[in-house]
Amino acid sequence: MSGPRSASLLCLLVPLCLLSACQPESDTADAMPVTQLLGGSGGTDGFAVAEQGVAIELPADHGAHNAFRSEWWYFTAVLSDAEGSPFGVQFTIFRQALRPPQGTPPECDWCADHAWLGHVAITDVNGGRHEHLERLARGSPGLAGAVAKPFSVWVDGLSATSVGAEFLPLRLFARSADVDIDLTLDPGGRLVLQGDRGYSAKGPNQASHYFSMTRLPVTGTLTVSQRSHQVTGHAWLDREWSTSVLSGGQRGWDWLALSLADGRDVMAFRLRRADASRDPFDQAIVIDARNQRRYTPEHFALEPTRVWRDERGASWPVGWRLQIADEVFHIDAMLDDQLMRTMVRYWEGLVRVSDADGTEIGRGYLELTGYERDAAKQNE
Amino acid sequence: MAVHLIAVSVDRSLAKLTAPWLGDDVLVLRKPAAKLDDYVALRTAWRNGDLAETLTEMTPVLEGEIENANSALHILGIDAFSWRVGGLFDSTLNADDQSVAATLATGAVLASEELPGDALLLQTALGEVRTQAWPLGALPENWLVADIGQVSRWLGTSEGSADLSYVLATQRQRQENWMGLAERMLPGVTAAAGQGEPELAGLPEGWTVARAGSDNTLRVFAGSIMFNLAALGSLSAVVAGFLLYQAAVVSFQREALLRQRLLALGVQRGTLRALFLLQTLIDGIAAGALGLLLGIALARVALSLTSPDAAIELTIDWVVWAKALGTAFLVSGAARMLASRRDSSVRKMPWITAALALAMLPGLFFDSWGLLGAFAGLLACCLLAVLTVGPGFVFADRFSVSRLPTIIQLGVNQLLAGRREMGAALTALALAIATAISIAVMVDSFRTDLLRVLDQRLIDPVYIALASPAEAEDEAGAVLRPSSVGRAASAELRERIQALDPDAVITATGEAQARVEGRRIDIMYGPFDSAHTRRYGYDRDLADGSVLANEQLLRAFDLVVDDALEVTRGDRLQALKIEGSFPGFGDVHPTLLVNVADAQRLEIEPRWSRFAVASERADALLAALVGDSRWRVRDAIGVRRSAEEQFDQTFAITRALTVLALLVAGFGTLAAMLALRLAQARQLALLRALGVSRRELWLMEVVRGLTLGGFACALALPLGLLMAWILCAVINPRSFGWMVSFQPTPAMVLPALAIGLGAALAATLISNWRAGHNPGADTSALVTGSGARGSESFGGDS
Amino acid sequence: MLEGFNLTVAAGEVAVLWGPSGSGKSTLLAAVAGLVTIDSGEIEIRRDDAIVRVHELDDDGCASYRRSWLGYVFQFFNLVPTLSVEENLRLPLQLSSRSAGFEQDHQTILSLLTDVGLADRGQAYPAQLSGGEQQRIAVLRALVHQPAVVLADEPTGNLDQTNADNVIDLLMSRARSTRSALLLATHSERVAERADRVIDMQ
Repeated sequence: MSGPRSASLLCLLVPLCLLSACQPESDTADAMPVTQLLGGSGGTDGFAVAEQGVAIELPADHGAHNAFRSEWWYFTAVLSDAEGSPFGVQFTIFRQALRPPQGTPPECDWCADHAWLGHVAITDVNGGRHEHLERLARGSPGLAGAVAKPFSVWVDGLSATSVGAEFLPLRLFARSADVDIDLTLDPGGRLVLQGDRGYSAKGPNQASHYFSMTRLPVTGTLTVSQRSHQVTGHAWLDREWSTSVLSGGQRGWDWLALSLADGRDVMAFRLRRADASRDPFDQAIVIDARNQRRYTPEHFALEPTRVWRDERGASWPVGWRLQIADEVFHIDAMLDDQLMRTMVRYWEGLVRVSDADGTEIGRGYLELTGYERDAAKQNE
Repeated sequence: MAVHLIAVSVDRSLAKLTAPWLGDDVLVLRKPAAKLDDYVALRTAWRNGDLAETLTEMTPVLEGEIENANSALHILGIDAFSWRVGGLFDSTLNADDQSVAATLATGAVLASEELPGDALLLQTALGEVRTQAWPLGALPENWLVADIGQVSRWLGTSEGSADLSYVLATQRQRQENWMGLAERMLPGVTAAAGQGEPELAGLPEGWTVARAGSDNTLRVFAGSIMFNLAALGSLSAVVAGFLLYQAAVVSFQREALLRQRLLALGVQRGTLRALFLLQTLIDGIAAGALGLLLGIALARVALSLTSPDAAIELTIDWVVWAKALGTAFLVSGAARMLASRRDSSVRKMPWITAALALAMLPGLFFDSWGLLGAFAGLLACCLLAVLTVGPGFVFADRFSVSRLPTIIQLGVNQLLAGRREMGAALTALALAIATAISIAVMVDSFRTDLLRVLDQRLIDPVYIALASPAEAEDEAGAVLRPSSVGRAASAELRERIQALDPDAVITATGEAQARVEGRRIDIMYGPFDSAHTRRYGYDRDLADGSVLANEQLLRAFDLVVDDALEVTRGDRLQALKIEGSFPGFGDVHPTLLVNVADAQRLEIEPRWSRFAVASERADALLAALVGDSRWRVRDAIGVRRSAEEQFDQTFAITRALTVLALLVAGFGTLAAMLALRLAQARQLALLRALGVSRRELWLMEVVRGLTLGGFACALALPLGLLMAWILCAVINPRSFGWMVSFQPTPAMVLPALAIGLGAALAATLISNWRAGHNPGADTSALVTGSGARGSESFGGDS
Repeated sequence: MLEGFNLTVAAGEVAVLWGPSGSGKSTLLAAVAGLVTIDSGEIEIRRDDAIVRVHELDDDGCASYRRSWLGYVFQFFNLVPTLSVEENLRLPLQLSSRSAGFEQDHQTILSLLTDVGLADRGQAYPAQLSGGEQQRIAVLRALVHQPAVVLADEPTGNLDQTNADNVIDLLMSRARSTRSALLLATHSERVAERADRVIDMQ
C-alpha cells in the first residue's frame, strides 16, 4: 500500500513541514512551501525518488532513508490477554525531512534536518477505552532518529529497538500517564514486498519503496487506565519511504490490514476521489503461506456499511463490506471511537472480520483518513 | 479595597513588562555547561517516569545576546517542537491571530513590539542576517525568540557539541488552586509567603531546579510592595473591627432589656439569634458595598496621583466583591459575636490573644519566615501592646485623682469609668497613631538614607544615559528603527563632550547580566578607580578579582564582605571576592560592580551606556547635549530632584493610607464618645443637679478627650517606634533586600501625635455638640425617677 | 401645673409636701432647685444677708446656686456611681468652695460616716452599698456643705420601713442641726407626722 499512506503521512506531516527551523536565512530557495507538498504534480526539490528495480535490502532498509522526504515505521498489533479480552495497539513513528539533503551533516546538533512524530494507541475493547499519545521531536541526536543495525527508531521516549543484533526480536516501548506498552515482536512472520518487489506505484508520477512484515508473534505488557495486562497476539509492520506528493482530486482513503484465522493476510485500500470515481491505484492483496495475489480495482470492492459520528460531526465509516473476487468479508470496528485526536485527526482501530454468516474469521486494523475535511466542507 | 485594587492594577502593569514564561508554575532546571546529551538524559528520565510526575512539559533554552545595528538584543532560543512551556506559545500574535507556535516553526523570529518587523538586521556569527520578525506583545522590550537551532547558529555555538543555557519545565502544582485564590484575594501573598525551593524527585545528578518566577525579581519586588500595601490596608479593617466591637457592646447593653422582655413574652432564642444574624447581614452588605464604592474612588484618586499619564483600569470582578463583602461580614460578625458573649469565653480572649501573639513573634527573628512572618511579628507586637490597654486602665484607676482640680478629676474619672465604651476606641486610636508614627519614621528615615546615598553618588554635575531603541526619534518625530544608539552614539557623545570641554573627565559604565548559583544578577562594569568607587563608599581602586556588591546581593546569597562568590556567564565562570558593599535603594536585582578586566574575563564586550561627566562647563554641556533623542542628559540637581519626587510619589499612597486609618480611628473615637455620653447621661444630669455648670461639664469632657488622646499617644509612641524599627530593619530587607537606618526624630513623630490628640479632642467636641445640652430634660428624669433603678451603675465595672 | 401656690419655709424648719403622685410635689422641688423654670411668681432663698432670686437666674446662675445653696436628695440614683463614697461626699465641698483642704475634708467626711455607722465604707463605690446605705450617704452628701435649703424628693420611697425611718431621722436631725430649710416631698403619712409643717398638695 502506498498512495494512501503517503497521503496520510502528508496530511499528518503538514505541520511538520512548517517546522523547517534551520533554513539558511539568505537562501530562500531551499524553503519548503506548504503548497508544494500538498498538491501539484510533483517536484521532488532535491529529494530522492523511488525507482523501479531498486531492491529492498535488509537489514539496511530497516533504517532511515534520509534522501527521501518522508517515511514511517508503522506497527499495528491484534492482541488478547489471558482471559481472551481483545486489545489493539498502534505504534507509529514518522520521519519528515525539513529540507532537501544538503550533502553535509547538520551544522549543529540542534540544527535538525528532520522532524519526527510518534503516535501510540491502545484499544481496550472490553473496557470500552481507546487511549493514545502523540510525541513530536526534532531530529537531534538522542531526541529522535533511526539506526539500521542494530535496529532502533525512537522519538522522545517512544522506541522500537531490536533486542539483539538481528532485527527481530524487537521491543516496542512507550511510557506515559495513560498509555504504557512494552511488547516484544519475535521472528516468524512473513515478509511482503509491496508493489513490484517493493516498488509501489501511487500514481502516474508517484511511487514509494514499501514492504511489510505480517503475523509477527507478540508478547508483552500493556497498561491502559492504570491497569496492566499481559498480552499475546501478532503484529503487522509497514515500512515505506517516498518523496511523492498527493495526486490531485484526492480527499483521503480507507485502508484495511486483516489477519484471518485460516492463516491468510488481506490488505485492501480505497482512495476516495472528489468526483466519487474509483481510483485506478486502489489495490487489494491476499497473502498466504505460498502466494501473494494482487487485485486491481475491477476485482475487488470495498463499501462502507455503518458510520460513527464524532463529537465534531464528522462521520467515520466503521463498518465495511469487502469483496475480493467471490469472497466477501464483513468488517466492523470492535470499538467505534478509535479516533486519533492528534495534530491531524484520523481513525485507526481494531476491527473484527466476519464471514457472510456473521462468524468471526479474523481481526485486523482499519485506517480512515480525510473525513474531517468532508465534514468541514459539509458545514460550509 | 482601595489597596487591593491598586495592587491588582500594579500587578497587571508589571505583568506587561515581564516575560510570560516566568510564571509560578514554571521551573528552571540548570546544569553547568549542559550539553544536548544532558538534555536528552533529562528528557528521557522524564518520559520514562523517573522524574516527578507533576512535570507536564519541558523545553531546552539557549539564551544570549545578539546585536541589531549596534544595540544589543536579548535572544531566546527554544525548541519549536516542545513549545507549550510557560504559556507564551498559547497566545496569539497581535496582527493575524496566528498561533505563536506555528509562526516559530516556520523559522521566523518573534520580537518585542518596538523592533522593526519587516527587516530585522542581525549581526550573527554567520555574518549579517536579514530576517522577518513577527511582533509579539507579550515579549519584554528588546527581546527576540526563535528556534533553538537557529539561535545556536546565530550565536556561533554550533562548533563542537551543542549548548543550552537551561531547561524550562512546567509543573502542575498541587496547591495551585489554593495559592492562586490566595493571591487573588491578597495580592502579593505568594511572594510574601515564599514558596520555598521547589523539589523535583528523580532529578539526574548535576541538575538544579529553581522557580522561574524567582528569576523575575521585578515581580517579586512588586509582590513585596503589594503585600506591604495590603498589610497597611488591612489595618483599616482591624481598626474597624475594634470599633464595631465597641459599638456592638453598647448596642447589646441597650437592647438587653428589650431582649429579656421579648423572651419573657415568649419569643424564642432562635428568633433572637436570627435577628442577630440579620443585623450582621445588613451590616455586612451595607458596609461591604459602601466600602467597595469608596475603595474604587480612593483607588482612582491614588492611581491618578501617582501615574497621572497612565490610563486607569480597575478590575471589579467576583474576587473584589467577595473580598469586600467577606471582610465586612467577617469583621462585623466577629465583633458582634464577641460583644454578645459577655461570659468566661470573653475573659479568655486576652490569654488567647497573648498566646497567638507569642506564637507569631518569632517571625521577626527568622528570615526564613519571609515577609509574611515579618508582618506576623509586627501584628504580634500590636496585639501585645493592645493587651496592655485593659491593665493600663486598671493601673491608672489606682492613682487617686482626688487631689486634682474637681473638673479634671471628674473628667479623668469619667474616662476611666467608661473603659468598656472607650477601651476599643482607645486601642484603635493608638494603633492608628502608632502606624502613622511608624510609617512616618520609616519613610523619612528612608528618605534621609536615599538622599545621603544620592549625595554620595552624584558628585559630577552631568549624567548621560544612552536611550533605548524605542525612544530614539528622527527630526520628524518618527521613531528610528533601528535607532542609531550603541557604539556610534557612545563615540559621538565622547567626541562632542571633549570638543566642548577638553578637560572634562568622563566616567563611563556599562551593564550586563550574569548568574550566581543559577540566579540572575546585574553587573555594572567600568574603570572603577578610587574616584569612582568613592561614590559607593569604597575608597580604593577596584582590583582585579574584587567586586563591590549591593545589599540585595549579600542578602540574597547570604554573603558578607570578604566572602568569595562564583559568577557565571554562559560557560564562563569567574571567582570573585567581595571587597565592599553599598546600599542598593531602588535596585531591583542583586548587583555587582566589576572592573573592566573582570568584565572581559566574563566575555562581556564593553558597551558604555552611562556617563558621568565632571566639567567646569557643565551648563554649556547640558545646553549642547539636551534634545538629542539618542541620549538622556540630566544635571545632578535634576537627578536628585527627580529621585526625591519619585520617592515622594511612591510613598504618597502609603501616607494617604495612614491618614485614612487615623480618620477611621477618629470616627471611632467619636462614636465611642457619643456612646459613653449616652451611658453616662444620668451621671451628667446628676452633676448638673449638684451644681456643675454647663461650661464646667464641657471642660470635663475636654479633659476626658485629652486624657483619652494622651493615653493613646502614650501607648502609640513606643509601639510606633518599635513598628518603625521593624519596618526599617526587618520588613524592608525581606521585601526589597535593603535595610533602612532607623533614625527617628521628634519632627517625624510629633505630627502623628498631634493628629491623634487632635482627633480625640475633635471627637470630644463633636460629641458634645451633637449631644446638645438640655439639663431640664436630663435632670427631670432624675427628679421624676422615670426608668431609674436604685442600684444601677454605669461604667463603673472593673 | 401649680397655681396660686405660696409657701415660706424657715431655716431649720422641716416642711413636708404631702400628696399622691402627680400632685406636683416633685415639680415644686424642681422649681425651687432651678431645674425647671416657672411661668410666673417668685422663688427667693435667703440666708443671713444674702438673697437668691431663683426665678431670675440664668443657667449658670442656677448651677452656681445649686452648688452653694442647695442640697438635693432624690428617690433614685443619688450618688455618682463612678466616685467612691468619700469622693461623692467631697464633691459638694469642692463645688461649693467650702473645702477646708484635702485632709480636713477627709476628717470631716470620716466623722460623718462614723455618725451613720459607715466609717469603713469610705472607699466603697455606690454599687457596693445597699439601698439604705446609699440613701444615708445621699443625705450626708446633701448636707455636707451646709446648704441653705435641702430638697428631698420621696427619699424613702424605695426603702423598707426600718431603713426609711433611719433615713428620715438622719435627714431631719441633720437639717435641723445645720439650720437648713428642709422641704421634703412624700406620700407617706408616717413621714408627714414627723414634720414641723405639712403642706397638703391635693
